Amino acid sequence: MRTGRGALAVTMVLLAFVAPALTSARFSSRQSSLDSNFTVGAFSPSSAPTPSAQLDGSVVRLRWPAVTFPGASTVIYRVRRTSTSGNSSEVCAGTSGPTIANGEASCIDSAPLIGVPSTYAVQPALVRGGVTTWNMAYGAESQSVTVPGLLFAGSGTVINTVTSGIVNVPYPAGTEIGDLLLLVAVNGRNRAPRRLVGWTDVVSRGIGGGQDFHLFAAHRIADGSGSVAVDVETGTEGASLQVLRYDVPAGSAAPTVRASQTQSGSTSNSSSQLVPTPNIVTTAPATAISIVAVRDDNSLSLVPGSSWVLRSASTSNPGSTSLAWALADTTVGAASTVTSPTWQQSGTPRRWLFGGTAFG
Amino acid sequence: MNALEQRNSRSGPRYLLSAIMMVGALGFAAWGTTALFSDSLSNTADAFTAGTVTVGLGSTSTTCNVSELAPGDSSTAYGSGSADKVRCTFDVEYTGSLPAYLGVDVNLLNGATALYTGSANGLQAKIAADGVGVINGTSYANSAGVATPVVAGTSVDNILLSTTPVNTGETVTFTVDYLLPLVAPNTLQGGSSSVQLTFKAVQSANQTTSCVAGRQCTTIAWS
Repeated sequence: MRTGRGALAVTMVLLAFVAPALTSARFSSRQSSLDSNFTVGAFSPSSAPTPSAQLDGSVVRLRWPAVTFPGASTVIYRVRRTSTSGNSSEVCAGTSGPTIANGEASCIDSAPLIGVPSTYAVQPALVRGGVTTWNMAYGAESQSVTVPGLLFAGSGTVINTVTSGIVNVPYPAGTEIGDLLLLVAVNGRNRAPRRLVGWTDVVSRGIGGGQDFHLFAAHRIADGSGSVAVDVETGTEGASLQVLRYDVPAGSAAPTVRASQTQSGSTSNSSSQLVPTPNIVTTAPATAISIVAVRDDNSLSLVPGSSWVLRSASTSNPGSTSLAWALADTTVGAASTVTSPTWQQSGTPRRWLFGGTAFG
Repeated sequence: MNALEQRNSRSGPRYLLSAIMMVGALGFAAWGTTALFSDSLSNTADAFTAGTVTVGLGSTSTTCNVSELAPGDSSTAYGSGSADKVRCTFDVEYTGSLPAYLGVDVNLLNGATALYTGSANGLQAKIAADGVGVINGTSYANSAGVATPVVAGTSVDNILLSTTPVNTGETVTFTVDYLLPLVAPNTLQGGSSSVQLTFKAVQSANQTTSCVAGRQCTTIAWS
């Protein structure tokens, strides 16, 4: 009996210990799918805009549609300028950074590359607490713009005289202190002007021997006066004079002659066309100037196909001698030898006087 | 109300318990009748009712959507960042009749573009249950208390919420705080992630554990 009772007790004990091991399952339950979902905001539009670049005097105005990002972050813009040589730099930075108004961002490249074709691209970026975080890839490049170093701004009245002595040649309208002024004086005699104060000669070249005439040009920085007094020393042949004006980019130093090799010469033969020699050699940026004259009232012009731009062409009969002269310029973006323009004259070909230099 | 998933078969323990009781009754009867077997042995009819282990939602929301995040954004209680985004909160109520241990599984999933990187430059998540940390940034505590990286797409299972069993009617509040750091790289633009919590309860009876709340617990049989 005890044996049997003891066996039963052992059985109970075994069951008590074995049962939990056999029953690994427990009453349990679970509640799934308590989900927290996180998504980020996005720039709108999804691609960086392409700026429009417009030349405004000596600066470039840039505009593009503003980019937005939801939330409290601020969208800023990096503006990149790329020159034709491939060099890139950031513009519109710091206090000159883009401003936003009416859904449009804009800024001014106030120190563009002079005479170098350049394009612009913008890169929107997020700023949070002064820290720049996400950005977009740069957008497409703008159209190319080229800022002339010295911006031709106008010509004054042509003064024709048959009187030897002082004549006042007026400055062009709008002349401001600091502008670059060019005086061109073509004399029916082979004489240069005298006692010209405050001006620096650019070219002074004449032809004698029965076909007398003289080409003279000088430059100065406008000082606030309204005209220049020139002693032309002409006679009945007469003389023709004019002052031309170039704007100087804001903040730029007063322009000086940059050419290390200038032109000044005459042809010994008459020809309908002229390519002045030697070519002007200059540092950059610069504006190269070419001036020609003939002793007749032929029309002077440029043969098309070059970067030279005709700024003034005058034919006159101030006295017994007919005179014609013209001035053209071109922007020089990189230090170089500047290929001279090809000039042509209408009518019976005459001998040429020419000169040229570069300012910057 | 979400459907409850009663994962365990109730018949197993109940029938086993009945068998144990029956054998025990016979044993005690035999122990008491040392002289002889009696025919007067009567056995009163006992009724056995199993307890329940069920969990339910204490709040109506099961989804928290946070959109338009930008680097520097964070929820109100994250502790850094903008602290101006809504904090995700879920209340879960224990409705079972048996005392139970509570645990949670956490699965962090990335969308087509990952927002969670498992490092300091991606989405950070701080998940807690009644203040007990479950996930801290990008890591959880394993059973030894060692910070272990949370890997996107790999569920972190069996984080014990408390060593004290809960009773019916008690509620646990899960909080999910988050931060998208300022150093988030451009590659996270367009990114998305989600955190899935699976709340679980298991009877505490007949279970012994040396686990620590807030750590992974492998000594409890969770199902």
